[in-house]
Amino acid sequence: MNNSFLEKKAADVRFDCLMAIYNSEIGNVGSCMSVIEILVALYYGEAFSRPILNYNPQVPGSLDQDFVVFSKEQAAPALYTVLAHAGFFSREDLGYIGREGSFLTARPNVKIPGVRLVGGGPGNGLAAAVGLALAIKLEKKNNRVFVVVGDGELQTGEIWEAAMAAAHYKLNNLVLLIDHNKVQGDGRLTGVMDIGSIQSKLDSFGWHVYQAMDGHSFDDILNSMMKAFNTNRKPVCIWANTICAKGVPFAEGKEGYRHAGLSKGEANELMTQFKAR
Amino acid sequence: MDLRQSFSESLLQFGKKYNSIVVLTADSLAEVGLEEFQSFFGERIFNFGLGYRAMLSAAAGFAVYGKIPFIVAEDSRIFLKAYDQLKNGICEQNLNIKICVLEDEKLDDLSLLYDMPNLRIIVPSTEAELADSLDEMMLSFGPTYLRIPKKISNEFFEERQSFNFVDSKILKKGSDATLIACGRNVDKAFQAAAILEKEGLSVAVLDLISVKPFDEEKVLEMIKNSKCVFTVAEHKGLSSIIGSFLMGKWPILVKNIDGNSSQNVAEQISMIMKIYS
Repeated sequence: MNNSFLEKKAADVRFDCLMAIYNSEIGNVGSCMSVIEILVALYYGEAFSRPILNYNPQVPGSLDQDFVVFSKEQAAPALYTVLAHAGFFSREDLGYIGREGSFLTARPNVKIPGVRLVGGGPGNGLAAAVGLALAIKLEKKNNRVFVVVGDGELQTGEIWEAAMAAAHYKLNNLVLLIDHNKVQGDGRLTGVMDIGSIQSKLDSFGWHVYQAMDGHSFDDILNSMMKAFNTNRKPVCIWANTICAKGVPFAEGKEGYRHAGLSKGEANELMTQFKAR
Repeated sequence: MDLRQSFSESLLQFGKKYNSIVVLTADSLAEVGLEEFQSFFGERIFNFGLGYRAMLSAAAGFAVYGKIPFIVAEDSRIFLKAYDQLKNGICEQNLNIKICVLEDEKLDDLSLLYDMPNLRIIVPSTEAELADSLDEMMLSFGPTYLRIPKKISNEFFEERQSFNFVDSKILKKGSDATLIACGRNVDKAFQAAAILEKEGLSVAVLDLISVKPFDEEKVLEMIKNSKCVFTVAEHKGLSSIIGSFLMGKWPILVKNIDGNSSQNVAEQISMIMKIYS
């Protein structure tokens, strides 16, 4: 498969996102960078020569589209950058995330074009998406609901309440994407509260679970996506092994950069690096 | 007389009339008496087991897809379990979600819910009020909480005529003290007022059907005519609502009376009135 378009797009989005983080003086470089490929694959990828996500930025409120529930709220700048690239709003707004008077709040809200549903807290997104998927099933429509959660959110109990409900109602229009970057606020996930095997946990809850070995390779992500679209009668989970702060050489995999923003020196270094590519 | 029957009948009528109604419940179908709704509209009723938090978040998903979710629960524990989901996921997003909870012993729901943004709180106390409140709830937009009264203990309620939904109902006028009550305590307050009348005190009684927002002008006007304000409730929620409303508006004693019978309430009030008049 030739994914050069997606790779170029991901590089663009990554650079814009870093600049948005720097200009808006906000943090969470690590969380934002690890989820970029997943979001780009969602919004730009194709499976079976059809776009993965069916959306139209001209009618952001229409119900005849697929839905993305972004539960990993601390990585909102990554979502905003992808939405801006997809044409939901101007890229110039990205420099003012979380500032007073800006419509791009630090956490997503439903008034932002392209954001349809927010959970309102860590771990709430999956349950909200379960409700949305149930409503779509009730109307007998074919739209899918994609949920992006971070791995730290799997520590909340609500995720598992929702996972149980999704399996019980056989929500085959629900796709859960887990950004498994193995780092959370206080350090390594295994050190803070080990979540164990995602694969066997969701499997025993009655989900189809697929692993994207490399969450930064479009081959892996799109392959799992195709597997997900070929299954039926069960909700699907794709967990992607990602690296915290991927693409930022001095921060990659480091716990300290999960919350942190960028200093001027770091931003300059990144700017020269990305321009050289 | 049991008002659960009347509630479930009204909901069944709504189910026939409006296609967009869905009922979400956490293992309390039988308790609230929705078996009939289930037999008619089984596909529109979703049971989440004891997963209160998943249920509240899922309601947000339903509302985003244009459904009107009626969350039905048996006691106010639902708010303690899912306070975050209710506040951040539903009320702050101003989603069209209706929450109907059976009256319980504690009656702490008012103090729990009064500070929720956008939430409307309705506490009917008779069958006619319940029917009107449900109509009002159905036709207005936004998150709404309804406390379903369990039982009407006294004939006094049945004798009262049906009236249209209004914000607050003056049951009796008086110049010495004002009694404010809602739900099942209206009966107690009204009888206590009759006892105090025999002792020579002129007592006004106000039935606060819509606790939030309540008819501020009417309440203030009544209170300005009297010397003390008493709320009759098992929990201090109502008195803190009235007290914080009067703060800076009118200097007056506000006290909560928690009595197990109307005689007890009347005794407590006459004791306090002797000091203050």
